[in-house]
Amino acid sequence: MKKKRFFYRLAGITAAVLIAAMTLCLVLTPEKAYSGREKRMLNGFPVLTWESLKNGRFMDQIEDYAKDQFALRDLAADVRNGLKLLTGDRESNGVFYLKSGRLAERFTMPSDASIRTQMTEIRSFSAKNETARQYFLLVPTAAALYPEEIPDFADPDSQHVYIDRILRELPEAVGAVDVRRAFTAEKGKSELYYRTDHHWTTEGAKIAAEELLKAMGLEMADPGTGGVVSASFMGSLAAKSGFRTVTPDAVTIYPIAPNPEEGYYFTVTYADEQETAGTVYDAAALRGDDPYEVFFGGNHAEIEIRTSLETGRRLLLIKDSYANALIPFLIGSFDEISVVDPRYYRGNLDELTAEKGFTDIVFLYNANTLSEDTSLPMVLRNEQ
Amino acid sequence: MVFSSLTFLLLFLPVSLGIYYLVPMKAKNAVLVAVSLIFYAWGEPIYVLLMIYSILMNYGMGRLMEKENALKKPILVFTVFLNLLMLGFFKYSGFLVTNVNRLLPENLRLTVREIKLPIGISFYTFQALSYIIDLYRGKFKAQRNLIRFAAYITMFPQLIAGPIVRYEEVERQLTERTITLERFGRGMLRFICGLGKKVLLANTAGVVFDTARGLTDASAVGAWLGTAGYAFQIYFDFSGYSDMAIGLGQMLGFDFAENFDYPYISASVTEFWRRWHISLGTWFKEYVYIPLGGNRVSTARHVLNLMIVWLLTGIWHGAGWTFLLWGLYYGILLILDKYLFSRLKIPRALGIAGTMLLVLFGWVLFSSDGLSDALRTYGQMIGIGVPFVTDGAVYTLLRSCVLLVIEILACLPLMKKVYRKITKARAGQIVMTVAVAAVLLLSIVFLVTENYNPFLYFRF
Repeated sequence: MKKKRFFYRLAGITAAVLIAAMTLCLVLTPEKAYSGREKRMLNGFPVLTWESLKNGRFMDQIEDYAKDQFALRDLAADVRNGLKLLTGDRESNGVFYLKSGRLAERFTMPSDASIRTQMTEIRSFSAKNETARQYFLLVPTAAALYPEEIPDFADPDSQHVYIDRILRELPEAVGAVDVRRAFTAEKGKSELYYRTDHHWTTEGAKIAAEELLKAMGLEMADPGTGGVVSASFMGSLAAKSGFRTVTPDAVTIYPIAPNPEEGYYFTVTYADEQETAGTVYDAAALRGDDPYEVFFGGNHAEIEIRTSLETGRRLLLIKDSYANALIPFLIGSFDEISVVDPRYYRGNLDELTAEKGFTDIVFLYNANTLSEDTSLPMVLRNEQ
Repeated sequence: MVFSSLTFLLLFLPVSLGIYYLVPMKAKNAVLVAVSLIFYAWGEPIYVLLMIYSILMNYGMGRLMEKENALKKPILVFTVFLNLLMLGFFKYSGFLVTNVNRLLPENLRLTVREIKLPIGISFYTFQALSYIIDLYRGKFKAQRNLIRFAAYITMFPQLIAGPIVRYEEVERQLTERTITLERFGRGMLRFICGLGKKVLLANTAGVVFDTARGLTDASAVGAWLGTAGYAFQIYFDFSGYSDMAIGLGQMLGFDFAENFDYPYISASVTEFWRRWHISLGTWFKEYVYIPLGGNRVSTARHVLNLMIVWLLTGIWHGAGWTFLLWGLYYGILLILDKYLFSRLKIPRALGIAGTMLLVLFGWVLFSSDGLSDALRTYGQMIGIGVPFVTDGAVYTLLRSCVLLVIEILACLPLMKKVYRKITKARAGQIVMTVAVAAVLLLSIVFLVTENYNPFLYFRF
């Protein structure tokens, strides 16, 4: 028993010192307001009110405060995720850490009912606009390009099954644009997807734009030479999963500047914000957390691009955020492009199509967003 | 407040212990009551008043009983009734009304507002009952010091989730107890052991359970995996909490009895209930089973006594039919054990396997949302309507196999033997201290990054 006394005392003192140190760390270090890594505001010490004390919210907020202001919070997350990978678990919060050192989001097959709803609305919308050429570009995500790296038994092929099905069920009038073969051919040669984010790279967008324009019988106008505008992009998947040991991404853009020599220029109008710009790029976004927002400053309900070209073609693009990197490559081929994001759009599509007389309509979605989307059917039938 | 939270570990505990150790012996009980009330009020800002009422009521009734010896029995009955009324109202009224409504025609149905269950009410009510009943039995004198009595009911280590400490176990310690660095260290070791069980083993097992149960491609393997996950979760959650309670008690100078003794190595259901939630089993034996006559009666009456005790044990765990059935399930198994299985010579290995299966089947009832949910899981477990295995089940198994192996090992007394062996030598003691520090730090890492930290026994 005497021998054990030393042990108990040692253990007691060690634990007490550790706890005291962590407490002081928590209380004495200055409060951090924002976590760049998690891309959210951090909880500060809560305000004490009689009401929040009575209903217990103050107490919950204290715990949130302690968690968020814990000085070594980022280190803690790294330790936890490192441990996870060590035990052979390569998935966190729906994101896989692939062996090639990239992150890919898990794909979940949606219900038959939701697919049917979408198809029904696409069909009736297509019938209403049969004077226009119609196309559907359904983009695979990284998980579909690297199915051999998705952990066994984690349903690696489901996205391909889904894309096959959607493209097959589209009405006759809507041309299916399948970029999978072009992507697979390019796979080893350049990065088509960001390692840390759920979007495609500008290279991936360019290849898809070429395929799309080919299907539409058009040629891409020379976009110029690409240049890197951000080399330290840690994207959405790194934030969502907490896997931070992935090499940061580089974001590239192409000039697509209005070209006085070639004689064409364009304007970009943001309907909701009532602003007009002469470029598609938002330089301010490069200084923020999400450099991907350099494309149009992020998502908008409705964007109108007018060029001085006279191709006779006017495009309606119904899209999710994947399209943002692709749109610049289309500008040199159309007189007008109206870009609608059904998640934010509150206007009336029928009125818009009647007003503009579009010659081409393109749906542009990636498999993940389309499988989870509920806004598209509503907007297609003009319900907000 | 929950032990496994940063608020408790880094804010409440250092400050409370600091004050507690600094004040002289005479003031320690008062400090204990004060911090415990804050601890309780932290989680129940309104219902703390209910607990204070219970303390005053039982204290008063205890003193009255001692004073008016002739009225001992009616006072006992009245106090027990008041305690059970309070527990019944807050815990079971919703259940009763819902079921009575099923029998009544539409226009006569009663409406009941959703009553939130005050945390720990099952525990502190049972402790108060142990006091008043044992006082009646003459086991001790009434506690005249209100602070000491309040300390017994409120002390924060066992307030929220047990062990159910009977008054006679701590009576002396309320008045005198020793606090040494050695006891503090022992308590810390026990506490950290419990913290690790809760944060590193229970919460993670809970994720396995949720994932397996949530699989869209259900399978037999998936159903078993989910049940195993739940079995681990509830064991590490509850025994971890008991470890923390016992450890904290030691730090305060109290010795609580053990509440768990490696239940999953039991070779019979009878043995299981001598190793699982020991303080509850003891309570029901002392205050229900023995007063009913225990086993010193005819066989028929013995069976009835067992059934009553087990139905009550079941319903104590929750106001729902699945809990009642769970109690009934064990009641029947214990009767069979007593009169049938124990008479057969079953080899120990077979007994352990059989008991484990029975316990797992029991947990399905416990973890289900209702009877139909339980039946569906049972069906899946024996392969009705689902394939034997699916990709989802295999994937979940692969992701969690390291964790599951660790958890199986942690269920065995082997770990305690290894611990004892290592800490015999000075070098081993230093290694163990480092290991314990690592568990503490890792637990904090998990808590800081945790979005999922439920406590299963909170509905009691």
